[in-house]
Amino acid sequence: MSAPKKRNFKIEAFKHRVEIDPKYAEKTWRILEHAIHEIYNHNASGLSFEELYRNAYNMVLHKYGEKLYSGLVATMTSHLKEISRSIEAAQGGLFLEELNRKWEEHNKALQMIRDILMYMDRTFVPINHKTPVHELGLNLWRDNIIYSSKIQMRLLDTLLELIQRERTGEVINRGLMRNITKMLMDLGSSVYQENFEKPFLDVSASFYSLESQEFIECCDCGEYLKKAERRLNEEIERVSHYLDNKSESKITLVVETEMIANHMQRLVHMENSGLVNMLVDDKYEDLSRMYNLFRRVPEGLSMIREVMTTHLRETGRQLVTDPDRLKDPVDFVQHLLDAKDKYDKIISTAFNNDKAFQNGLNSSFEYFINLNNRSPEFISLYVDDKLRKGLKGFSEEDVETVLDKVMMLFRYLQEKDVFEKYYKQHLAKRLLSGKTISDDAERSMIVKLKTECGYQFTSKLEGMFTDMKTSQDTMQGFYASQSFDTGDSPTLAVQVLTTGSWPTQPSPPCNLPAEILGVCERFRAFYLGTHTGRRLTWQTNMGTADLKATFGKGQKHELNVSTYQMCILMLFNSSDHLSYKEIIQATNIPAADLKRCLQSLACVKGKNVLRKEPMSKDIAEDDAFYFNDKFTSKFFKVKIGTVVAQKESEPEKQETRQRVEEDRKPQIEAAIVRIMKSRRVLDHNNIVAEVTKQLQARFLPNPVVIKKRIESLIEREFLERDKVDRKLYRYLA
Amino acid sequence: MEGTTKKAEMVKLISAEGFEFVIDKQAAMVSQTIRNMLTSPGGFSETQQGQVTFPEISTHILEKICQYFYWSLQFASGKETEFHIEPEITLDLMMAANYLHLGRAQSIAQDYKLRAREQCGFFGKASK
Amino acid sequence: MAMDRGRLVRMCIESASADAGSVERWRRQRRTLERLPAHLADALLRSLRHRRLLFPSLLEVFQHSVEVVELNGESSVDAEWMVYLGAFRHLRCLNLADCRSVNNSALWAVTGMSCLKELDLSRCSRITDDGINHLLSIPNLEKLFISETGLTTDGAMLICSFKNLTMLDMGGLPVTDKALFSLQILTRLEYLDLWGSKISDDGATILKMFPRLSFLNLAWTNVTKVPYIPSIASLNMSNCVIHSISPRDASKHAPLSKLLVHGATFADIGEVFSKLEGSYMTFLDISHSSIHSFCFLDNMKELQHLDLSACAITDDLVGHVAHIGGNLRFLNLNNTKITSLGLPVLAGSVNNLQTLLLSHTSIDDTALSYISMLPSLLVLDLSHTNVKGFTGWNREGLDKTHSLSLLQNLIHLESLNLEDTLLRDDAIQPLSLLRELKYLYLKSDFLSDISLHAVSSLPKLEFLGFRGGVITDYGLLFYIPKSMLSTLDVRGCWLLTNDALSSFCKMHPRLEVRHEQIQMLNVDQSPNHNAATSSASPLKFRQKREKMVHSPGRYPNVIYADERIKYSREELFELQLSQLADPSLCHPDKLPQLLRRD
Repeated sequence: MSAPKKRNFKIEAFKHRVEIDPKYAEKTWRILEHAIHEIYNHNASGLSFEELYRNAYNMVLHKYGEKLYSGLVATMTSHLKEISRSIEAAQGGLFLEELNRKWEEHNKALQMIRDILMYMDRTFVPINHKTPVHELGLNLWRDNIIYSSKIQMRLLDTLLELIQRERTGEVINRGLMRNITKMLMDLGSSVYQENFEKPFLDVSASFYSLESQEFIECCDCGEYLKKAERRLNEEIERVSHYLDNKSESKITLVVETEMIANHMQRLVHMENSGLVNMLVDDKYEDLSRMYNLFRRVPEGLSMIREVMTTHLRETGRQLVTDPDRLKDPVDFVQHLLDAKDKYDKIISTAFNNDKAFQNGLNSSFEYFINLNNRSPEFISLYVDDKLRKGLKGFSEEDVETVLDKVMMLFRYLQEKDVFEKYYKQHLAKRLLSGKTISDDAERSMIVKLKTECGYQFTSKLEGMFTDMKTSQDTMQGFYASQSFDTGDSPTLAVQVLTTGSWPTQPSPPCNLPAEILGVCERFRAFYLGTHTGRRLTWQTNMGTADLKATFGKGQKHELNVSTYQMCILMLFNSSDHLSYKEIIQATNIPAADLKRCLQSLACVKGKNVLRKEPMSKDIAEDDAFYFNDKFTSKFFKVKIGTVVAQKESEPEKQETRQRVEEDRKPQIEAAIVRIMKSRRVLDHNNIVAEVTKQLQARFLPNPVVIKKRIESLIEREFLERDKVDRKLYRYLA
Repeated sequence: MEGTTKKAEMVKLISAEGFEFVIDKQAAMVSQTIRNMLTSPGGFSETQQGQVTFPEISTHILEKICQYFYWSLQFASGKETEFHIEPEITLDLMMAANYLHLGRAQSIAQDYKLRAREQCGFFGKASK
Repeated sequence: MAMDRGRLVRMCIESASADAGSVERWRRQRRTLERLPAHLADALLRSLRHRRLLFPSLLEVFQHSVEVVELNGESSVDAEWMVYLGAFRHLRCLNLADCRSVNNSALWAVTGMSCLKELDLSRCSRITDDGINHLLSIPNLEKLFISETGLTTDGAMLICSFKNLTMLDMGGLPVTDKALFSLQILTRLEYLDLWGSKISDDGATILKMFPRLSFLNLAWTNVTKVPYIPSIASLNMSNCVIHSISPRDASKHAPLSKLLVHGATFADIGEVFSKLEGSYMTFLDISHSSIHSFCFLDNMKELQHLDLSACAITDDLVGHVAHIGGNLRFLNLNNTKITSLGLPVLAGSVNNLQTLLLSHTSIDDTALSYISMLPSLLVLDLSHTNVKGFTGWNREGLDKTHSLSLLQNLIHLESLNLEDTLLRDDAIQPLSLLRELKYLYLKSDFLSDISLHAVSSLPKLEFLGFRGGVITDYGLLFYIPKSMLSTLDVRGCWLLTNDALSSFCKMHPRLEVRHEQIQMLNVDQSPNHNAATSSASPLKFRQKREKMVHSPGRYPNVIYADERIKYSREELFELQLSQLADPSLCHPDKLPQLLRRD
């Protein structure tokens, strides 16, 4: 290592004593200027970095930074002007390549220059708020090359032309494009935008405007969408390969606007291939494509949704008002379920399970299902049919699936209380006739209804089940207690029904045959022995009986008949012919029912165990009836049902509806009272709104009915009208 | 950290009086200026020959600078010792340190940007 | 591989300014440092000044290189110094504030200095109108600070010849309207400070002629109506009577972002604030003012700094603050009638609040649960409140739970002031859970060794104030400070003996210990004392009247100027002795006027 320095003299570490004078500064600058020239002329090898760096350092140190900086600017500018000329001179296709090459060279030179002028860059530049060298180099390039009048337009035109060619199918040099656009980005995003992106977007807009016009004239909807999708993907790919990725959203916007948004109406409503056709024909792929494309444009999805819901409502409306369909309720409901399945599939496969579309579907169904006021009844009938025989043999899961689907329809009903009424009736019939395929399925349905509507809805239904079970137990107990052999007294099976749970109309019992009476009394005694404080009434309008009958030639048949019919037939044990009047007197059966029974016993082919004189379809009061010796049937067991239509007859329908209306009145009143009690004072419109809100889970109350109920409550002094404002009501405690 | 090929692990620094200090390249790179000298594109003589002459830095100071390089590496890796500087040389050492741009973080980011561009083949090797 | 900025340079400077001997050793080698770059020369000069190694002839060495000279507070700077400084070829910025020896003739040395752009002569009371005359020949002056000098209004009128001025501080001078009129020629002015001057409403009308004026200080003047000034951003009218800011029929609203009206009286506060575009306001100080209604706050949604100390704000009115609290970072409610009931309103609305000052309020422990819901809180002042450290306190003293443990939720809390509260030893333990705490201030007659050790485990603590407590010698000697602790303030702990203190200081040489008995020593040694003022740029020091400077000292608002400017050595000795007799003199309110913010 070197010897320590002597300390007496002022020995400078820097050997060369430099003078601070302008001539020196000029000389130093010349060295640097020369170096910059060499760098640009690719002649830099062999130059000493240290020497150049030191010279720059000295200039800055001696406060000649300004001279250095402005000299740099001037030198670079002059070089760039030269470069500009050489680029302008390039012919045709070589233009871009020449530009690219010069750009790369410039960057390399710039880095070298910045390295040797590093000292100026980090001391002089920030203090004097100058542009740093690297940025300066980019700016000068931008100003002298890109903004040069001869190059600016030519560059843009070249780029756009290449893109145009690529759009028409040619292959272009993507790498070169990439470099050029990257250059523009490096010069500043505004340079990129002004000198390329904006014109690019404009040109693309016109291009796609034209193209979309062409396509839409000659393609159908599906094909057009395919083409649009293809173009869109093309543009996205173009961006990823050689454009700045911020351009993606802008160019896709252009394509979306030109190709989709501007033609939305026409596409959707295109004859024979538009949206409606796609829906009808389950064209999942096309629908999916349409969904994906339209979701990119404003209002696109809402348009699809609107058309879909309109179509659905129309289809639904036709379905529920078609008189043919209405003949078969099960078929009717099945069609509804099929429609729901179809659209569910469309929404899940093609529309991405979009909630808004689901909502549209739901609102449409709700709309048209309630157009037909028999829908609640039909749905109940559908369930009835399934639970009687339709789901026989199905696995548990399948049963659940069907019931769930029915529940979906149930939810759309506005008059759920009507459904409840019918369901009760049908369920009672099923239970009492024992014609249900599976208790589990029944219970499962009840649970679903309970989940949907709450405990009150199903409490009575559950009560019915309980009664059935209890009756079984009771019967067992009864027979256990009958110690003596009953011999040929008839076997009795009793179902004890709790009043109120069952939708039965009470009717006075008819006269039972003696044999029956005996065993009935024994049962009554037994029952009341174990249950004090109760009252039993025989419902003779609901029971069934199995009779063994022997006919003329000795054929034995087992007849399955209703209780009324049994009473009638048993009469013929004691005489061969009876007149109508005699029968009615003996049995005490209500006239209408009696007529129907006699009809079924005498006027139905294959079931005519009685003979009527005169023979005719209707029962007249002076008809006479004879036991039909000549009755024949293929079957041993013959079922003679009463002519009770599954579907309600008109008068019955009216009755049910009336009952429903009657039931609604107290519910409305209860709601009004509840509301007024908490609000104390409320005006008419608000009451109506609140009541509707409270009751809408069961049914939609009629505002006129609500008004009537309010009047009634006023009369009964639950509410009063305000003296000043006639529309205001007040709660009276 | 840098992808430049290390032709040699060592580099030669020559003082004003002609003394040669052969040190690790990594140590020399503590000076931003030397780093630039050795890695700048364009074939400066320093890059080619792997040596740098400092006609304005005396031997004694250059020696101290080299000691500082090694001390700095040590310090960065956790060994914190004292680096003694005699008052006589403080001014010269300070000026040399300033000249050699020992570690200003400011322009490093810019530097990486430029050099990174070089790495990903900006010069004519862009990928499709 | 991270590079340390200029570490070698720093080490060289430290070595060169280690002591007088070192200076001699390198000084002998050369006469000028003309090749030394300006930023290095500035740094070396600064370091020499800190170490008190500067003297006039040494300045000569720097005359070709230095651009920035800061000698504020140096009473030794006089004409001889100025002669050398006058020879500096590239001097751009010269700070001589509080250099009381500088007089008019000293200024003669800098006449004609064409490189000088910035000159600070604040509080150089010997400078008078004649001095300004000397300065007139400095052509390029851009920033001039002459507050509280001996200037008269005639001298002030001379200022108009400095055509390039952008910053002018004439606080505390008897500037009249006439002088202000003459200054309207300074069209480049951006910053104008006229506090305590004789300006009135007439003079104020001229202010709108300054097209670039963005900072204006009219505190302690008779101005009541401020005209519409197009580019005004910061306005100080503390201690004024305010009638209007911006005229009635201005179509544009003044884009004020910073308003200080500390101690001001308002003719009609609603009227005044309706003229201001509240949505620009980021800084508002209306402490000590006569305000009763706070509706004007309602549209100041960008407010970050709000000082309502000593205002008539009550729990009912805090809602106004909560309403605009979204961006609030600083809230001062010292000396108000806020109680714990007012805090729930704030919690949840001021999620960006970093500083909350509730000193001298009747806050108690129930407030702590709400304070703990302020997620960004860094600084919390609960001194002089009713905080006891426990909630659920009933008559038997049973069933109580620590309330300070709630502060754990403030995971960023750095500074906590609990001086003069009702805390006892048994409440202090939860403080050890505040792991991020850097500054802790405790002062109570009842805290003892137990509490000292309870807080000793805080890992990041840099400053611990434990004043007036009952610490024994043993307690002190067994206290082991963590490595981050740099200052321990045990003034007023009267049980401690001199021996214990000096042993402790020897055991922990890097720790600064403050106590009456060692006050003297610390005043001499610590160079850090001036660090807050001199390492910051000269400009920050200037704004001590307006701005909060965050020093790690005890009261963020108090700036400790160098005590030596006020006292001679003898006086300091006297002080020390008197403090021994009466520890309560340590209270900063007893500090001389100059050393505290009013």
